[in-house]
Amino acid sequence: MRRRWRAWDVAVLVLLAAWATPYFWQMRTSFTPDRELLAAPRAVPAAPTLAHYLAVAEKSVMPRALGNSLGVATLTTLLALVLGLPAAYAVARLPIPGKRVVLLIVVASTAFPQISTVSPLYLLLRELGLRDTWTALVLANTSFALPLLIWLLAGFIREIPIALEEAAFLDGAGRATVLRLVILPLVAPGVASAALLTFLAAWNEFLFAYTFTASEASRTVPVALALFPGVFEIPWGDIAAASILASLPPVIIVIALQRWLVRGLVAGALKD
Amino acid sequence: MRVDGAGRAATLRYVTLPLLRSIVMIALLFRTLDALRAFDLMFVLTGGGPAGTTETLTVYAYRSLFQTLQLGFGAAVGCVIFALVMAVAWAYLRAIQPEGAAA
Repeated sequence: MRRRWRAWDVAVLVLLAAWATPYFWQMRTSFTPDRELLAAPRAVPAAPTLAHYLAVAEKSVMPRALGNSLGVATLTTLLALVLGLPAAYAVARLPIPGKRVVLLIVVASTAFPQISTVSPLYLLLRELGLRDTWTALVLANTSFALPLLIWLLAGFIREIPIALEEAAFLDGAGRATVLRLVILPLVAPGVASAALLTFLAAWNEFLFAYTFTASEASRTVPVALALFPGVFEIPWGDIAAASILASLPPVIIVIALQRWLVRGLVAGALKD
Repeated sequence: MRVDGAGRAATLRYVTLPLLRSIVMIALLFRTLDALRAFDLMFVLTGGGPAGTTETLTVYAYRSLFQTLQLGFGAAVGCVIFALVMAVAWAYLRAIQPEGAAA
Protein backbone atom coordinates (compact mmCIF):
# COMPACT_ATOMS: atom_id res chain seq x y z
CA MET A 1 0.00 0.00 0.00
CA ARG A 2 2.63 2.47 1.07
CA ARG A 3 4.68 1.83 -2.05
CA ARG A 4 1.72 2.41 -4.36
CA TRP A 5 1.06 5.81 -2.83
CA ARG A 6 4.67 6.81 -3.43
CA ALA A 7 4.12 5.98 -7.11
CA TRP A 8 1.02 8.15 -7.15
CA ASP A 9 2.92 11.03 -5.55
CA VAL A 10 5.59 10.81 -8.24
CA ALA A 11 2.94 10.72 -10.97
CA VAL A 12 1.26 13.83 -9.55
CA LEU A 13 4.59 15.66 -9.32
CA VAL A 14 5.45 14.74 -12.92
CA LEU A 15 2.06 16.01 -14.10
CA LEU A 16 2.46 19.26 -12.17
CA ALA A 17 5.93 19.74 -13.62
CA ALA A 18 4.64 19.12 -17.16
CA TRP A 19 1.90 21.67 -16.54
CA ALA A 20 4.32 24.27 -15.14
CA THR A 21 7.01 23.87 -17.82
CA PRO A 22 5.56 26.30 -20.40
CA TYR A 23 5.21 28.98 -17.71
CA PHE A 24 8.75 28.37 -16.54
CA TRP A 25 10.01 28.56 -20.11
CA GLN A 26 8.14 31.79 -20.80
CA MET A 27 9.56 33.23 -17.56
CA ARG A 28 13.08 32.11 -18.54
CA THR A 29 12.73 33.60 -22.04
CA SER A 30 11.58 36.93 -20.61
CA PHE A 31 14.85 37.29 -18.67
CA THR A 32 17.19 36.08 -21.44
CA PRO A 33 19.08 38.59 -23.64
CA ASP A 34 18.26 38.40 -27.36
CA ARG A 35 21.63 37.07 -28.53
CA GLU A 36 21.41 34.23 -26.00
CA LEU A 37 17.90 33.32 -27.20
CA LEU A 38 19.26 32.41 -30.61
CA ALA A 39 21.94 30.10 -29.16
CA ALA A 40 21.38 26.61 -27.81
CA PRO A 41 18.79 26.89 -25.01
CA ARG A 42 19.80 26.47 -21.37
CA ALA A 43 17.55 26.24 -18.35
CA VAL A 44 18.74 29.46 -16.71
CA PRO A 45 20.04 32.41 -18.73
CA ALA A 46 23.80 33.02 -18.36
CA ALA A 47 23.31 36.79 -18.14
CA PRO A 48 19.76 37.53 -16.91
CA THR A 49 18.42 40.86 -18.08
CA LEU A 50 15.44 43.12 -17.53
CA ALA A 51 15.82 44.59 -21.02
CA HIS A 52 12.67 42.91 -22.34
CA TYR A 53 10.54 44.24 -19.49
CA LEU A 54 11.93 47.74 -20.00
CA ALA A 55 11.25 47.51 -23.74
CA VAL A 56 7.68 46.35 -23.08
CA ALA A 57 7.07 49.07 -20.50
CA GLU A 58 8.54 51.91 -22.56
CA LYS A 59 8.17 51.11 -26.23
CA SER A 60 5.13 48.86 -26.59
CA VAL A 61 1.36 49.24 -26.29
CA MET A 62 1.28 46.84 -23.34
CA PRO A 63 0.88 49.44 -20.54
CA ARG A 64 -2.08 50.94 -22.38
CA ALA A 65 -3.47 47.46 -23.12
CA LEU A 66 -3.14 46.41 -19.48
CA GLY A 67 -5.13 49.51 -18.49
CA ASN A 68 -7.79 48.74 -21.12
CA SER A 69 -8.04 45.12 -19.98
CA LEU A 70 -8.32 46.06 -16.30
CA GLY A 71 -11.00 48.63 -17.10
CA VAL A 72 -13.02 46.41 -19.42
CA ALA A 73 -12.82 43.33 -17.19
CA THR A 74 -13.69 45.27 -14.02
CA LEU A 75 -16.63 47.10 -15.60
CA THR A 76 -17.87 43.85 -17.17
CA THR A 77 -17.76 42.12 -13.79
CA LEU A 78 -19.58 44.96 -12.03
CA LEU A 79 -22.28 45.31 -14.69
CA ALA A 80 -22.81 41.53 -14.85
CA LEU A 81 -23.16 41.35 -11.05
CA VAL A 82 -25.56 44.31 -10.85
CA LEU A 83 -27.78 42.77 -13.54
CA GLY A 84 -27.21 39.12 -12.68
CA LEU A 85 -27.78 39.05 -8.91
CA PRO A 86 -31.42 40.28 -9.01
CA ALA A 87 -32.06 38.00 -12.01
CA ALA A 88 -30.62 35.02 -10.14
CA TYR A 89 -32.71 35.87 -7.06
CA ALA A 90 -35.84 36.08 -9.21
CA VAL A 91 -35.12 32.75 -10.87
CA ALA A 92 -34.39 31.10 -7.53
CA ARG A 93 -37.18 32.50 -5.39
CA LEU A 94 -39.99 34.36 -7.18
CA PRO A 95 -43.05 32.49 -8.50
CA ILE A 96 -42.43 33.25 -12.18
CA PRO A 97 -44.59 31.29 -14.65
CA GLY A 98 -42.45 29.04 -16.84
CA LYS A 99 -39.44 29.47 -14.55
CA ARG A 100 -37.95 26.11 -15.50
CA VAL A 101 -38.07 27.06 -19.17
CA VAL A 102 -36.41 30.40 -18.42
CA LEU A 103 -33.61 28.69 -16.54
CA LEU A 104 -33.24 26.11 -19.32
CA ILE A 105 -32.85 28.92 -21.86
CA VAL A 106 -30.29 30.60 -19.59
CA VAL A 107 -28.29 27.36 -19.36
CA ALA A 108 -28.60 26.74 -23.09
CA SER A 109 -27.32 30.21 -23.91
CA THR A 110 -24.09 29.56 -21.98
CA ALA A 111 -23.40 27.16 -24.86
CA PHE A 112 -23.78 29.91 -27.44
CA PRO A 113 -20.73 30.21 -29.73
CA GLN A 114 -19.39 33.77 -29.97
CA ILE A 115 -18.45 33.35 -33.60
CA SER A 116 -22.13 32.96 -34.53
CA THR A 117 -22.95 36.45 -33.26
CA VAL A 118 -19.76 38.35 -33.91
CA SER A 119 -20.75 39.78 -37.31
CA PRO A 120 -24.24 41.06 -36.38
CA LEU A 121 -22.79 42.47 -33.14
CA TYR A 122 -20.08 44.20 -35.14
CA LEU A 123 -22.65 45.84 -37.44
CA LEU A 124 -24.79 46.83 -34.45
CA LEU A 125 -21.90 48.39 -32.53
CA ARG A 126 -20.70 50.20 -35.65
CA GLU A 127 -24.16 51.72 -36.21
CA LEU A 128 -24.23 52.81 -32.56
CA GLY A 129 -20.87 54.49 -33.01
CA LEU A 130 -19.31 52.28 -30.33
CA ARG A 131 -16.56 50.71 -32.41
CA ASP A 132 -13.15 50.88 -30.71
CA THR A 133 -14.59 51.82 -27.28
CA TRP A 134 -14.58 50.20 -23.85
CA THR A 135 -18.39 50.33 -23.88
CA ALA A 136 -18.59 47.97 -26.85
CA LEU A 137 -16.40 45.36 -25.15
CA VAL A 138 -18.12 45.72 -21.77
CA LEU A 139 -21.57 45.27 -23.33
CA ALA A 140 -20.56 42.30 -25.49
CA ASN A 141 -18.65 40.57 -22.68
CA THR A 142 -21.48 41.15 -20.20
CA SER A 143 -24.03 39.61 -22.54
CA PHE A 144 -21.89 36.47 -22.72
CA ALA A 145 -21.06 36.40 -19.01
CA LEU A 146 -24.62 36.81 -17.72
CA PRO A 147 -26.07 33.33 -18.40
CA LEU A 148 -23.34 31.46 -16.49
CA LEU A 149 -23.40 34.08 -13.71
CA ILE A 150 -27.19 33.85 -13.28
CA TRP A 151 -27.07 30.08 -13.31
CA LEU A 152 -24.27 29.91 -10.71
CA LEU A 153 -25.79 32.55 -8.40
CA ALA A 154 -29.28 31.00 -8.62
CA GLY A 155 -27.72 27.75 -7.40
CA PHE A 156 -26.04 29.50 -4.48
CA ILE A 157 -29.21 31.41 -3.55
CA ARG A 158 -31.30 28.23 -3.55
CA GLU A 159 -28.99 26.78 -0.89
CA ILE A 160 -29.81 29.58 1.55
CA PRO A 161 -32.47 28.41 4.00
CA ILE A 162 -35.71 30.16 3.03
CA ALA A 163 -36.55 30.57 6.73
CA LEU A 164 -33.95 33.36 6.95
CA GLU A 165 -35.81 35.38 4.32
CA GLU A 166 -39.19 34.63 5.91
CA ALA A 167 -37.86 35.93 9.21
CA ALA A 168 -36.79 39.16 7.50
CA PHE A 169 -40.20 39.52 5.79
CA LEU A 170 -41.93 39.06 9.17
CA ASP A 171 -39.80 41.87 10.53
CA GLY A 172 -41.17 44.08 7.75
CA ALA A 173 -38.38 43.98 5.18
CA GLY A 174 -39.19 44.37 1.48
CA ARG A 175 -37.72 42.33 -1.39
CA ALA A 176 -34.98 44.87 -2.07
CA THR A 177 -33.94 44.98 1.59
CA VAL A 178 -33.91 41.18 1.83
CA LEU A 179 -31.79 40.96 -1.30
CA ARG A 180 -29.32 43.53 0.01
CA LEU A 181 -29.14 42.66 3.72
CA VAL A 182 -29.90 38.93 3.82
CA ILE A 183 -29.10 37.34 0.47
CA LEU A 184 -26.06 39.37 -0.55
CA PRO A 185 -23.97 38.74 2.61
CA LEU A 186 -24.86 35.05 2.56
CA VAL A 187 -23.99 34.47 -1.09
CA ALA A 188 -20.78 36.52 -0.83
CA PRO A 189 -18.59 33.45 -1.45
CA GLY A 190 -20.76 32.55 -4.45
CA VAL A 191 -20.60 36.13 -5.70
CA ALA A 192 -16.81 36.05 -5.33
CA SER A 193 -16.46 32.88 -7.43
CA ALA A 194 -18.95 34.09 -10.05
CA ALA A 195 -17.22 37.49 -10.20
CA LEU A 196 -13.85 35.79 -10.56
CA LEU A 197 -15.06 33.62 -13.47
CA THR A 198 -16.59 36.66 -15.16
CA PHE A 199 -13.43 38.72 -14.68
CA LEU A 200 -11.16 35.98 -16.02
CA ALA A 201 -13.41 35.37 -19.03
CA ALA A 202 -13.41 39.10 -19.84
CA TRP A 203 -9.64 39.30 -19.25
CA ASN A 204 -8.94 36.42 -21.66
CA GLU A 205 -11.62 37.27 -24.21
CA PHE A 206 -10.06 37.51 -27.67
CA LEU A 207 -12.59 37.31 -30.51
CA PHE A 208 -14.73 40.33 -29.57
CA ALA A 209 -11.71 42.37 -28.50
CA TYR A 210 -9.96 41.61 -31.78
CA THR A 211 -13.01 42.40 -33.92
CA PHE A 212 -14.44 45.47 -32.18
CA THR A 213 -11.20 47.36 -31.56
CA ALA A 214 -9.20 49.33 -34.08
CA SER A 215 -6.54 51.19 -32.12
CA GLU A 216 -4.69 51.17 -28.83
CA ALA A 217 -7.51 53.28 -27.38
CA SER A 218 -9.39 50.09 -26.55
CA ARG A 219 -7.15 47.14 -27.49
CA THR A 220 -6.98 44.65 -24.64
CA VAL A 221 -4.04 42.50 -23.57
CA PRO A 222 -4.81 39.36 -25.63
CA VAL A 223 -5.14 41.50 -28.79
CA ALA A 224 -1.96 43.43 -28.01
CA LEU A 225 -0.12 40.13 -27.53
CA ALA A 226 -1.47 38.72 -30.79
CA LEU A 227 -0.35 41.83 -32.67
CA PHE A 228 3.10 41.81 -31.07
CA PRO A 229 5.13 40.09 -33.80
CA GLY A 230 6.81 42.75 -35.93
CA VAL A 231 6.98 42.84 -39.69
CA PHE A 232 10.57 41.67 -40.04
CA GLU A 233 11.26 39.75 -36.84
CA ILE A 234 9.48 38.16 -33.92
CA PRO A 235 10.67 39.68 -30.62
CA TRP A 236 10.46 36.48 -28.56
CA GLY A 237 11.92 38.00 -25.42
CA ASP A 238 9.56 40.99 -25.47
CA ILE A 239 6.56 38.72 -26.13
CA ALA A 240 7.56 36.54 -23.19
CA ALA A 241 7.91 39.55 -20.89
CA ALA A 242 4.57 40.95 -22.07
CA SER A 243 2.75 37.65 -21.53
CA ILE A 244 4.23 37.27 -18.03
CA LEU A 245 2.93 40.77 -17.25
CA ALA A 246 -0.44 39.84 -18.77
CA SER A 247 -0.84 36.83 -16.48
CA LEU A 248 0.03 38.69 -13.26
CA PRO A 249 -3.27 40.55 -12.58
CA PRO A 250 -5.47 37.40 -12.69
CA VAL A 251 -3.04 35.59 -10.37
CA ILE A 252 -3.05 38.50 -7.91
CA ILE A 253 -6.86 38.65 -7.96
CA VAL A 254 -7.23 34.91 -7.35
CA ILE A 255 -4.89 35.14 -4.36
CA ALA A 256 -6.75 38.21 -3.03
CA LEU A 257 -10.15 36.51 -3.34
CA GLN A 258 -9.01 33.17 -1.95
CA ARG A 259 -10.42 33.79 1.53
CA TRP A 260 -13.86 34.47 0.03
CA LEU A 261 -13.72 31.56 -2.37
CA VAL A 262 -13.39 28.95 0.35
CA ARG A 263 -15.55 30.42 3.10
CA GLY A 264 -19.06 29.18 3.66
CA LEU A 265 -21.19 31.70 5.52
CA VAL A 266 -24.46 29.83 5.93
CA ALA A 267 -22.93 27.32 8.34
CA GLY A 268 -24.37 28.00 11.79
CA ALA A 269 -26.77 30.73 10.66
CA LEU A 270 -29.85 28.77 11.71
CA LYS A 271 -30.48 27.19 15.06
CA ASP A 272 -33.08 24.45 14.93
CA MET B 1 -18.53 -0.07 1.59
CA ARG B 2 -15.13 -0.19 3.28
CA VAL B 3 -16.62 -2.56 5.85
CA ASP B 4 -17.75 -4.83 3.00
CA GLY B 5 -14.11 -5.20 2.02
CA ALA B 6 -13.83 -2.80 -0.91
CA GLY B 7 -10.47 -1.20 -1.67
CA ARG B 8 -9.92 2.37 -2.75
CA ALA B 9 -10.25 1.50 -6.44
CA ALA B 10 -13.56 -0.32 -5.93
CA THR B 11 -14.89 2.50 -3.74
CA LEU B 12 -14.02 5.02 -6.47
CA ARG B 13 -15.52 2.88 -9.22
CA TYR B 14 -18.78 1.84 -7.54
CA VAL B 15 -19.56 4.65 -5.09
CA THR B 16 -17.79 7.95 -5.74
CA LEU B 17 -17.97 8.11 -9.55
CA PRO B 18 -21.66 7.10 -9.82
CA LEU B 19 -22.54 9.78 -7.25
CA LEU B 20 -20.49 12.36 -9.16
CA ARG B 21 -22.07 11.33 -12.46
CA SER B 22 -24.08 14.47 -13.20
CA ILE B 23 -21.27 16.82 -12.11
CA VAL B 24 -18.79 14.97 -14.32
CA MET B 25 -21.20 15.15 -17.25
CA ILE B 26 -21.64 18.91 -16.80
CA ALA B 27 -17.85 19.38 -16.64
CA LEU B 28 -17.53 17.27 -19.81
CA LEU B 29 -20.26 19.30 -21.48
CA PHE B 30 -18.54 22.61 -20.79
CA ARG B 31 -15.12 21.35 -21.85
CA THR B 32 -16.49 19.84 -25.08
CA LEU B 33 -18.32 23.05 -25.95
CA ASP B 34 -15.25 25.14 -25.19
CA ALA B 35 -13.20 22.91 -27.47
CA LEU B 36 -15.79 23.17 -30.25
CA ARG B 37 -15.88 26.95 -29.92
CA ALA B 38 -12.11 27.43 -29.54
CA PHE B 39 -10.82 30.22 -31.72
CA ASP B 40 -8.02 32.32 -30.29
CA LEU B 41 -5.25 29.69 -30.09
CA MET B 42 -5.54 28.54 -33.69
CA PHE B 43 -6.13 32.03 -34.99
CA VAL B 44 -3.13 33.59 -33.25
CA LEU B 45 -0.65 30.71 -33.57
CA THR B 46 -1.19 29.58 -37.16
CA GLY B 47 -4.12 31.56 -38.58
CA GLY B 48 -5.43 28.21 -39.84
CA GLY B 49 -2.31 27.53 -41.90
CA PRO B 50 -0.28 26.03 -43.41
CA ALA B 51 -2.80 25.61 -46.24
CA GLY B 52 -5.79 25.14 -43.96
CA THR B 53 -4.37 22.15 -42.05
CA THR B 54 -5.15 23.74 -38.68
CA GLU B 55 -8.25 25.59 -39.78
CA THR B 56 -11.20 24.82 -37.50
CA LEU B 57 -14.80 25.80 -38.21
CA THR B 58 -14.49 28.90 -36.05
CA VAL B 59 -11.35 30.14 -37.82
CA TYR B 60 -13.00 29.34 -41.16
CA ALA B 61 -16.07 31.36 -40.19
CA TYR B 62 -13.96 34.30 -39.05
CA ARG B 63 -11.83 34.30 -42.18
CA SER B 64 -14.92 34.11 -44.39
CA LEU B 65 -16.54 36.99 -42.54
CA PHE B 66 -13.72 39.42 -41.97
CA GLN B 67 -10.91 38.52 -44.36
CA THR B 68 -12.55 37.38 -47.60
CA LEU B 69 -15.74 39.36 -46.75
CA GLN B 70 -18.15 36.60 -47.82
CA LEU B 71 -20.66 37.87 -45.28
CA GLY B 72 -23.57 35.55 -46.10
CA PHE B 73 -21.33 32.50 -46.34
CA GLY B 74 -19.53 33.31 -43.08
CA ALA B 75 -22.85 33.80 -41.32
CA ALA B 76 -23.96 30.40 -42.64
CA VAL B 77 -20.81 28.75 -41.22
CA GLY B 78 -21.56 30.51 -37.93
CA CYS B 79 -25.05 29.01 -37.92
CA VAL B 80 -23.64 25.54 -38.62
CA ILE B 81 -21.34 25.90 -35.59
CA PHE B 82 -24.33 26.99 -33.52
CA ALA B 83 -26.35 23.95 -34.64
CA LEU B 84 -23.42 21.64 -33.91
CA VAL B 85 -22.93 23.07 -30.41
CA MET B 86 -26.65 22.77 -29.65
CA ALA B 87 -26.70 19.16 -30.85
CA VAL B 88 -23.76 18.25 -28.61
CA ALA B 89 -25.30 20.10 -25.64
CA TRP B 90 -28.61 18.31 -26.19
CA ALA B 91 -26.92 14.91 -26.35
CA TYR B 92 -25.05 15.56 -23.10
CA LEU B 93 -28.10 16.91 -21.30
CA ARG B 94 -29.99 13.75 -22.31
CA ALA B 95 -27.19 11.66 -20.85
CA ILE B 96 -27.21 13.61 -17.56
CA GLN B 97 -30.67 12.31 -16.63
CA PRO B 98 -29.82 9.91 -13.79
CA GLU B 99 -30.58 6.27 -14.54
CA GLY B 100 -32.85 5.11 -11.70
CA ALA B 101 -32.10 5.59 -8.03
CA ALA B 102 -28.64 4.52 -6.88
CA ALA B 103 -28.45 2.42 -3.75
